Amino acid sequence: MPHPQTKSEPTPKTTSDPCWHTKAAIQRIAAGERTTWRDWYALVHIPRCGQCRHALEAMKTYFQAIQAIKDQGNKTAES
Amino acid sequence: MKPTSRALTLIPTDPYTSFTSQARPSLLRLARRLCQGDLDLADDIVQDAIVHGFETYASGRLSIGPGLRAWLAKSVTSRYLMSKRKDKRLLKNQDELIASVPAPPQETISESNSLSAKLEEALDDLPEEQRLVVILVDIQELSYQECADSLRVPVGTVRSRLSRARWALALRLAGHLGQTHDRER
Repeated sequence: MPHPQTKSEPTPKTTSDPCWHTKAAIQRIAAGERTTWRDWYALVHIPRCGQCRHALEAMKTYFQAIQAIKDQGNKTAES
Repeated sequence: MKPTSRALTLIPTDPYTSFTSQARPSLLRLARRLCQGDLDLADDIVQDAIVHGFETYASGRLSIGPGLRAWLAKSVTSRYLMSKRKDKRLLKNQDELIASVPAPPQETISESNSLSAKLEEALDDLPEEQRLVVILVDIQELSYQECADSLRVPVGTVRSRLSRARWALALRLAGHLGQTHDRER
């Protein structure tokens, strides 16, 4: 009998889940922050990996939505 | 009695009043987002934060500057957290009352397909600690340190919560966009 805390199956990956080693870099790239030398691997890897490309698109969409919320707030404040 | 005399000379053209009248709309937005639509509570929280800020300013411990907006945002956040704790204590003794409160109607959720509306919707479904971090850091543009101070958690916790929250929201938005594209095809 397996240990109760042992996962019998790994968590299923969704289509946009990136590889674990690019997660932090994808957030920085999508936010438009300056990439550092530590991100070189991600910059090489992302164009070759479908899941990381999708994840980058998803993260860019997230930051667009955040910007939209901020713009709405500014408009409300002006009016 | 230096603070009192300073307080008396502040009205009506003091820099604090003019600063807070400019900052008030953004503080209200922050409070309403935190309170998830409880407008009365949001108004009370902002009013309390501004009054407390005035007292601190009048006593000379706070000055007008770039840090004041962050100070007020932190004050609003901690007041919201205090009100939550108070609510929890009250509700603990009133389980029957909770059961009798009807669930909010699902129709009130906006049907708008816009990105921001979807994000707001997804934000409400996040765990409380992740929701607060997204609101403070990504929407209110507080620094990690300021956010950590107002939530009284280490900066590393803020970073990890923010990362988890961003991925949860990004993947949910991506899922929504995928569905929309499928429907358009």
